[in-house]
Amino acid sequence: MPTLTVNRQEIEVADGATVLDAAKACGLEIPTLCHHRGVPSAGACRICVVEATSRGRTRLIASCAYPAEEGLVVQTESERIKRSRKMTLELLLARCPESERIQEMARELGVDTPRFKTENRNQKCIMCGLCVRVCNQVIGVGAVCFSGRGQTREVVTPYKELSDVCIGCGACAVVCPTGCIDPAEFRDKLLERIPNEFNCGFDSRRSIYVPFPQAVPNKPVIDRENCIHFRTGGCGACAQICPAGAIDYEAEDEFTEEKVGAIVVTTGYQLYNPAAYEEYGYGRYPDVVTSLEFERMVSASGPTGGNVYRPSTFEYDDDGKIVGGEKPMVCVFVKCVGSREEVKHKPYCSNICCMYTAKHTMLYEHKVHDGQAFVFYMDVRAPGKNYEQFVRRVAKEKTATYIRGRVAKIFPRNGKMVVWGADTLSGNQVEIDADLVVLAAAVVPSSGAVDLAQKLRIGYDEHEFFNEAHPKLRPVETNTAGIFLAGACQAPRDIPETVAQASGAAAKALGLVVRDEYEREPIVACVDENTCNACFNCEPVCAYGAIGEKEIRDRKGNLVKIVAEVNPGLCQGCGACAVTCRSNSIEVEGFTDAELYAEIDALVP
Amino acid sequence: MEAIQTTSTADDDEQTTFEPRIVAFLCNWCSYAGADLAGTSRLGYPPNIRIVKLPCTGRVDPLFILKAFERGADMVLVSGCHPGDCHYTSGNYHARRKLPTFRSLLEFMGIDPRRFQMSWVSAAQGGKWSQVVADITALATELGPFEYFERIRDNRN
Repeated sequence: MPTLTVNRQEIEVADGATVLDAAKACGLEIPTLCHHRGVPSAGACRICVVEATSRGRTRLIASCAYPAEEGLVVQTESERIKRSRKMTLELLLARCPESERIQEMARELGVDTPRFKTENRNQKCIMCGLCVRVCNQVIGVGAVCFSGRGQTREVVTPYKELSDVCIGCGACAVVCPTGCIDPAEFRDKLLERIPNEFNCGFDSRRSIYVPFPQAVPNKPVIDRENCIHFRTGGCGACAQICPAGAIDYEAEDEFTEEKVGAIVVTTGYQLYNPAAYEEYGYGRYPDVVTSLEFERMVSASGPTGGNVYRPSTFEYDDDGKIVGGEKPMVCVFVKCVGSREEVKHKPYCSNICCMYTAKHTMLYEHKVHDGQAFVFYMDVRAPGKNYEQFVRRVAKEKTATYIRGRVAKIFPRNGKMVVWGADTLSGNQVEIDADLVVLAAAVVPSSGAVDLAQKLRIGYDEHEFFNEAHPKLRPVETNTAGIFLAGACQAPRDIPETVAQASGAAAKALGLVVRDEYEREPIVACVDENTCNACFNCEPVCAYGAIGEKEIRDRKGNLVKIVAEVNPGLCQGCGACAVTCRSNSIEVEGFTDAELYAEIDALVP
Repeated sequence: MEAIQTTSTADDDEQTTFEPRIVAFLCNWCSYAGADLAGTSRLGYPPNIRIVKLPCTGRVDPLFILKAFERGADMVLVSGCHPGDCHYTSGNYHARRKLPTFRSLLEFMGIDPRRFQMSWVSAAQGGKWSQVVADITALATELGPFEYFERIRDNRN
């Protein structure tokens, strides 16, 4: 850990740090061009020069490449430094008079018109080699290099042709200080955009990303499939840049084991894929979207920044962000897509679609003031508190025109989406030239919910929604003790219901774990020690490992016999042991043989 | 005594008035809850069934079934969770291995094995429960009164 003096300020820096790092740590800004914190420095541009004194000798050094030595005295502002920088910039400006970055820097340092002339004017490249370094040393592919000497020196791809080794990562274009590399030149090679899953694939994301704005924990994750480090072994830029050193490429998924007293299952839901309705063309026509996709569009933190655009007209910037599009002037909402369709789809009502569609029409009106909204519905089901009033308001304020009937077909014509439907109240066929069609798809349980249910021994119905212990009296419990349900994993639910149920589940779970003593069910097996002859046939049939051995001793401590013993905390009272016991020495409390025989006697008198 | 009376009434009257008595051993978690659901869902099913609730089909001792027959049941049903869904992990697997073996023993004894039925009804299958009861009641009616133990008793007397 060397200590050095920067502008009379003593500072201790990490081993391997440069003078530039030390100056930064002191809060000093040193102008640089060829330095990039993720790329090894070369001291090529000489803009970052400072005066360094060591062993009584003062020299101009490139701060980005000079190691911070013990006892070094550094001066970052002086006439000599200024002169040197001005000279360098004058030369660069002569070479690249149109580079905005150079112009800007020249202005800051007071360089006007260069005194030098060059035949090779109007270049942007300053020959700093940052792109060569990033490609060779960071990405590790070497698709750009220097060629020629002296005046003919230039940065090119090998043989001036687009190289096969180029993976199109675009790192060279990103680091170039003067912006002289245009990614369009190797567009064919550019990596495909990675669709942002959280935004339904409308925009794109990086290969290291925070999954969504409110993610818990709110930390970036690496997408190994697309990450250049995992593809080529190179890059590693994120690890170099991260000030906390939190990036660990070696990290593997691991299993952690926790002993818990209660489990609340909240696996939620996903939307039924409306591509099952071939006649609606979802997946074929970009302007037919699901309600969730529409929801992302109207979200202020969503891919369009809260603007509603027709997906077929999205305009993207270089970063893959949506910057514009055509506003849909006619928007058709189709409800019950997949719900209440016994024959081909889901027979149940998805519960939330009526309300969110009403909300969507209102949001649509807020975003597109002169837009027209139509809603095709079967019934409007709005049974919650103030729900009916909300739907009435939407209808009354003419936010949307509600049409009672189903949509038969959606197809494109002259740039519009034609919606064919029926108005069953007037008995007419309806045809609407829409710009955007929003399908309120059915709510279905999350994929993988069944696997979890089988692991946790939760029952589930034919639609794979989890079963509660009792539909009326035990709505948050499952049949397995200590496992509780909350939200849409049990049935389609809206937010107030989910919050209420989750509060109930949390209270139930807490009630179970905060007590000092565990209250168990009274129905457990118990052993008659007088008749048990310790055959332990009961042991293998017990699924809970509740059968143990007990030694019976006389007063002097001599072993009289060994018998089976049931641990009442583990025993769940299934009775498998009672049936297996050959000497009838195990009985289940409440379900003893005598009780059951009496019951049979009473039933068949 | 009453068992004899009931069967004799059935003999006296036409076959259609015979009302079989079915004893059902249901597990608490699936089939009993399924039967409960059938009730709360207002699904009708024949009243001939008399239910004994057990924690699990694994608790069904073959002797219970014999006892039910001995007391004059015309049919016995054991119904539990679907294989893989047992609340107690494996109780219905025990039943699934044990009771079909017992059924062949019934046949050996000369009891029509169709008089002993098993089914898997989950807590969500109220409809299936009502169907199962309707089906086995129809079967029991078709098989007629079960007089095996009665005959033994009569012979002894």
